Amino acid sequence: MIRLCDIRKTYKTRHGSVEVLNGISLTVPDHTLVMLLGESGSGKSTLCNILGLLDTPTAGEYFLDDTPIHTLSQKERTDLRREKVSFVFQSFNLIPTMTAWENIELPLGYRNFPKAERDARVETVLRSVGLIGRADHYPSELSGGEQQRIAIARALVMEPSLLIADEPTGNLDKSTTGTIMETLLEAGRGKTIFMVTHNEELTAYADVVLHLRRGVLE
Amino acid sequence: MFLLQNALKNIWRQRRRYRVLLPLILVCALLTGVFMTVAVPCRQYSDRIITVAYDLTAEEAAAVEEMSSHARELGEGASLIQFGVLLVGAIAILYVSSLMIGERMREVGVFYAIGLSRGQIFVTMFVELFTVCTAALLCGLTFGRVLAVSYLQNEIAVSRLPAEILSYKGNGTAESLCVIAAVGILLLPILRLAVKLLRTDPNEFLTVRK
Repeated sequence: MIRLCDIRKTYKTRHGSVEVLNGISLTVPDHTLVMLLGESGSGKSTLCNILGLLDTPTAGEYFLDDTPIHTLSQKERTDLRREKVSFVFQSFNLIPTMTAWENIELPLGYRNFPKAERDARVETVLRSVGLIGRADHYPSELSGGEQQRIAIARALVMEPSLLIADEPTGNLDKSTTGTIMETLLEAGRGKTIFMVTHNEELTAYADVVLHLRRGVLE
Repeated sequence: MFLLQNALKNIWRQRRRYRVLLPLILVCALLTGVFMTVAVPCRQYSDRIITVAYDLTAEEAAAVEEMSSHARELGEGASLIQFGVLLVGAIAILYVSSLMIGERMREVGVFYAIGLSRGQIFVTMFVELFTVCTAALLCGLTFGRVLAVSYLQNEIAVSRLPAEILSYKGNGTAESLCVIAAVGILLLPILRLAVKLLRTDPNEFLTVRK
């Protein structure tokens, strides 16, 4: 479960302080798909960075699965992020010199999973995103939608409790967007998914829809 | 184990990125090997010939003096060129490796995003760079040495240098300095990588990645 209490984030610039998040309070139960909408500059990315343990709030409390994130050191936050949080980006961010299989296997290998378990997990997630037949393909040999499904598979292979997706359909056409959303819902079942989007139509898939305007949730 | 396997596989995967750095190190090492192998015995021979007393005829003394003079010119010229090669090579390698590592920061960002630690990323890239650079350095130095010995043998054949010159190994100082300089150049890309990774906060970098 995610619980935010009066989260504030202020950046200091040469021209003074800029308050990006202004008292965000929020509770998200487990296994929920949350969609966050808002204009550019409304604080969506900052909120995502705080939720994904990439950034710390200036004030307020953040609990992830009852762990008080606001009291942790940077190293503890990094360790927790590696264990519990995965990301899906708008630009896919697959490693171009590795096949789809190798891209997905990478995080497992670096956490010392045995070869047999790595193979089993990679095969499972590839099947769940419907791309088992593309395992040996390089990203350049895949369409945009397929690359994003591989990126989703890579994010899910570590079985995170929280998946942060920052405009995962931003670079895709309408029909591919539908496929990606179905993949996210199907493969990400049992995870808490926090998704940023500009596409109002996608709110139909969400359990919770949040609108952020000038650092405040509406 | 996976880390090492992945690092070694990366050499092949990233072969296009080494198109400039690899030949550059190879050429620098080759030239260093050539000039070091020529400079050290030639300088030692010309230095010794002055200090050792010989009981020679005038003709023999003239021939020895001519060889000594030729060896001195060769030794000094080779040393100078070798210094220039190391200097220019160091600058070029630092520049090219900076470009290459800069290009690979995107990959580093992905590594962070999927949960690798800074240490894992550094070791992966270190193993890859070290293997490539060491292989290029050893190949270059070996080839250079073979070329230089072949050149010296040719000079001996035409009586411009004495046959015993190949037995001059130097006192070790000049060669040690050359090896230290060569290893220093080899370490430049690795140092550049370490500095880049250390100066980048992982979380900040991942934020930028998006």
